[in-house]
Amino acid sequence: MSDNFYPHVDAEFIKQCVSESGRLANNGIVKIGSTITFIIAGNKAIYKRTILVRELIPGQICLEQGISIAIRFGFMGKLLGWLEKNRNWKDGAYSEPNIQLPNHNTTDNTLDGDIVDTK
Amino acid sequence: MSTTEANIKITRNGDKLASIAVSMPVWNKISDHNHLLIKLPLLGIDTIAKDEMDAEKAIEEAIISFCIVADKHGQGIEKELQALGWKSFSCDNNEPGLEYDVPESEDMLERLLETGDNYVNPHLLVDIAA
Repeated sequence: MSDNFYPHVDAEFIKQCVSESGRLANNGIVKIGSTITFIIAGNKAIYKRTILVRELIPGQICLEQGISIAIRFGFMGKLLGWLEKNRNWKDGAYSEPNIQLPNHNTTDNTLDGDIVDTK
Repeated sequence: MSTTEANIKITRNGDKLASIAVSMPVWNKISDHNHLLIKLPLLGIDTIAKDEMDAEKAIEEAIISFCIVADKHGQGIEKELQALGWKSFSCDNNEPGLEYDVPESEDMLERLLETGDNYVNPHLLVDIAA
């Protein structure tokens, strides 16, 4: 089963960043079904120049593959910025600035784990 | 067939790739984020799937992608497979076939290959205009 807790990244954003890296072969993005192959320019054997990602959700790349691609093509900073802006996700967590954590010193009738606005 | 062997047969229509028959070992493991990571080391490919159901599709797409990319951006499927250690053999009808045989001296490699699941698909259709 897929864990939906982690944010996914728009495939279009990933493709754009990889293209802008300047390392791709001409027409170096091939899509078969939900599999996208990036082909790096050069003369090495093809298996050394190809990287696969897959849209596990249509149009979306999972965080694991997004990060792996960002490291290899050098756009980690851009990816983190994108995640913060578009997924409200920063430093490994979703930021919800308007929600306060429950105050453990008071007793109330809410179930354990509920997020309570104490104001 | 044991997992210590692998083979691929390629059928073309003129210059166009028509279908691929394939048998090779694959390995799956669950990632930290609960996805299925799939390795096809004999093709030098890693891919990913939502779950076991989706894995079959992921493997199909990965193999077809390899073949199309090898033809379009590399030196052709046959040569690119040879770069990965595959050897050509003659099929009955002169269609190109390649196999990956573990030499008898490579006991360790044989034991490793036996740990994989055997992926077999006698008729992978390549219906995408490459």
